[in-house]
Amino acid sequence: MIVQLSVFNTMRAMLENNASLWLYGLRTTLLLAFVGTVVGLLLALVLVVMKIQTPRRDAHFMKRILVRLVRRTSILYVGFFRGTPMMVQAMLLYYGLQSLGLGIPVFTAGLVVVSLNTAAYLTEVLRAGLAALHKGQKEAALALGMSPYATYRLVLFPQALKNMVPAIGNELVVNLKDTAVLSVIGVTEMFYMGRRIGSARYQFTESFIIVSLLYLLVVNIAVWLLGKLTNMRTRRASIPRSDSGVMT
Amino acid sequence: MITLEHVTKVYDNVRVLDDINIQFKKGTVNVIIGPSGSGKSTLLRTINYLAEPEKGQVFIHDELVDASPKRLRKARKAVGMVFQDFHLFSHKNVLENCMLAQINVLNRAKDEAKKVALKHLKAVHMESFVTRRVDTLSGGQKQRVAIARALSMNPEVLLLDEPTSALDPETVGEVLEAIRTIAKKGMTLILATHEMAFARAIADRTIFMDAGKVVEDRNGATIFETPHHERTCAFLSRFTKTA
Repeated sequence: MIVQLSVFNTMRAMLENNASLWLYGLRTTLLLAFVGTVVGLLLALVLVVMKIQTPRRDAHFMKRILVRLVRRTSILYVGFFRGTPMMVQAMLLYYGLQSLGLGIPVFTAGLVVVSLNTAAYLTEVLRAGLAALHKGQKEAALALGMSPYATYRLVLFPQALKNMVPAIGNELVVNLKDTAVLSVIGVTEMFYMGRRIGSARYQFTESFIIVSLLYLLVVNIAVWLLGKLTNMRTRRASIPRSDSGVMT
Repeated sequence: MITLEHVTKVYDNVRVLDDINIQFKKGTVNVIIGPSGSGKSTLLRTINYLAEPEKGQVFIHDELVDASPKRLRKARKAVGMVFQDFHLFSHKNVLENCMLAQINVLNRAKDEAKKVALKHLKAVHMESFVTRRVDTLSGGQKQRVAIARALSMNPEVLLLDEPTSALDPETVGEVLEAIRTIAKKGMTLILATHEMAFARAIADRTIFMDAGKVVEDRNGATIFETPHHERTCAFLSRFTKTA
């Protein structure tokens, strides 16, 4: 009982004495996850367009090679970022750029890594979302005289993105937790702050209980908000659905 | 006028269209009949190049249609299409379905596009459904919206690919009535259908297709009374038996 009270008191003192550091870490984590997810989604839109390119059989030889190159680039990109840990990507980007004399701030490096990583995963989600649409949607738009670009922009992407809301939500939740690995290059997010505050008096148990509680809080708020968003969307679509489809 | 010259389309080594030579004149109602897999739908789809022929050429008003974006867009502006499964845009409501391409392709102002869409929705008796989501409509209602959407683009020719095949018998009548009204207005129609009684009532010309070839091509609905070709006889007699 005394031990439990002592842990609680230490945690309270830790929170009170380092409030600004905790808030800074929380803010960094939230910024990295939210901005990283949005930028990643925008990049994924470009990457998926690159990935679904198919060369026309009557196209010029050079154009066919170019189309294949564009497609292959997207495939390699997705393969690399899905096939390597984000921690390794962060080390490669941050120290790699430094060794080339192109050093960038750690926060920027962290944001770039989260965005690039998210883009790779969302490219696959978006590709699956587009593949799940009935091919008649594309044909109907083309038959009305719409260009392929307008067909994707006005007909296919809006439908695919609508179906992707739960998957984007999942990616956001994953990002909220996975930004912890960016502490490896010194990004001052929640994990980094937990380690820093805990190391002052070697009180890691207490500091990481606080870190866990903070992660639980933000992740559950995000899940709750995404659930609301998904339910709003499904109510509008008049399709009954019991849960948000967001996993933690 | 639409002209197809030596059009051949191959899917998986099967000649779905085999050296088709045919012309469709302005203001006529052309009905294409034939068994499933005879090439009716593919013939319609080669006209607006949704299916690109391996051989042969398609002309709309003597202008060649090919894969070049400019020519393709021009051809598709002139030729509207109604699909068997409607293919309405599920993220748009009834009115928006009829306005989207008008704004994007014809560069019409929003107000004008709305006016045109409402006119055509009224013609198919769907004016009271404008704000409805398309997934809440019945099959017949969906097909009437699809017809209004195609007509909102003011096409010169309307391709109708088995427009009643996906409908329950109760709603077939409302769609056929909408097509009959369009036909009376003198629009060029090319209709692939299994509705023999309707084809007989509406056709200025009837074409019977089998195995990717035009087997019989006759004026009016005479094909139903006196079919010349053995294959046409067999096909129509099967219909009479099942009817």
